[in-house]
Amino acid sequence: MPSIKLSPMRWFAILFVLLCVLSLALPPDPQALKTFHITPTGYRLVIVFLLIPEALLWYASFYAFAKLHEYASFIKGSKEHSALQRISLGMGVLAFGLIIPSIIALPLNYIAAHHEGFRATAAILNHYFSLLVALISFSLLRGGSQRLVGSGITIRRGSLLGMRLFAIFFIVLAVFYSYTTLHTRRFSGNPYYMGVFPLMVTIIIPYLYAWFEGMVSAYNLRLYSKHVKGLLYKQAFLQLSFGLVITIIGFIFVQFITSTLGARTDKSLGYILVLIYILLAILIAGLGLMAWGTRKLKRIEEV
Amino acid sequence: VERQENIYLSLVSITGDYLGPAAERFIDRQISNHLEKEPQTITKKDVGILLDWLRGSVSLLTDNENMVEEYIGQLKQLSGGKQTPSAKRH
Repeated sequence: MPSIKLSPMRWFAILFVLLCVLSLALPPDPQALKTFHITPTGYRLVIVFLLIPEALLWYASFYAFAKLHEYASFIKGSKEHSALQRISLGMGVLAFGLIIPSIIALPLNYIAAHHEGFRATAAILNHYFSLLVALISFSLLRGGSQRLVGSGITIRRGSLLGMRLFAIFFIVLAVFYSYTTLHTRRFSGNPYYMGVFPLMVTIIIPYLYAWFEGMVSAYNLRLYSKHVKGLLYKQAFLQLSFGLVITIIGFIFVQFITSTLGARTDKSLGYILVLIYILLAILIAGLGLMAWGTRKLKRIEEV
Repeated sequence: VERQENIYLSLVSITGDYLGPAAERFIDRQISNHLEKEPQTITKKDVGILLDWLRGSVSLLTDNENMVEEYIGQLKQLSGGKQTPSAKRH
């Protein structure tokens, strides 16, 4: 996102057209046709059906990023500026990070479909691109939210019960994710193309770290919106933070599903599609709420 | 000068109850745009003149008229005027 001359929405339009062209122009993977028992035409239809909700998600994430970016520019010189700028950058990495790995995956998967030896490399690269997006975006969001909490407002730390619930939730997530990933590796043909140790060190642990950062930023944002002064500001910020919290948790689940269930080829396509649609709907709602809250905050700076 | 600064700080403080961290920027903008003065040089008399502008601006941010009147009531006290009955209620 640094030095972008184009607006986020124009970036979205360019990247989306590129993705559509690549998705429909590249011949389908014969192995995928065999796995899902569909014809090449059916495959393209599925792609179109998948692209519609995904396009909505990408649009919503770029829109939310654009609004946050505008708002952060509006409050230049204020205590919250650097925090909001970092949060908007994190949101930008998430927005770009949703669509760019999909674009990169298309030629990689195409090469892999025709050069069996490249399949492992393509899978590993796809996993690492997604992981990198999670690590960078959630770290930026955590850094920004931390700055926001330290931007001069009086904050009482959350209760011990809250911290315990947070810890329990994260432990359950970590155990379940590790188990599912290792189970998928062992019983679903090792879609990660990695041994247990590299999988744990380079995929499981970094993902858990990224999600921990994401959850801490969600916690910080809730804390800030709870304690910040100003009835009207608080209302708008609550919407923004609630939207961001839904978005962060939603992204964690999307990454969870795609890196475990999505990697498995023994599940039926319908089952995966339903799960993806539910998650996309939740994410779009979160992003919409975030954009709405940001618009209200920006309105305060305009009047 | 000290008294003028106090008026400015009170104005920001009262507005802070509604606009939080955005209050100072909001007040600075209103004074510069409508009174064409340096924000810190605002006087009691200026607050009286600014009230209508502030009412209009805050009304654009919320449909809650009671909240707007409560805010304006507090500012009226600052300008030396009487608080409106509706503002006293809230």
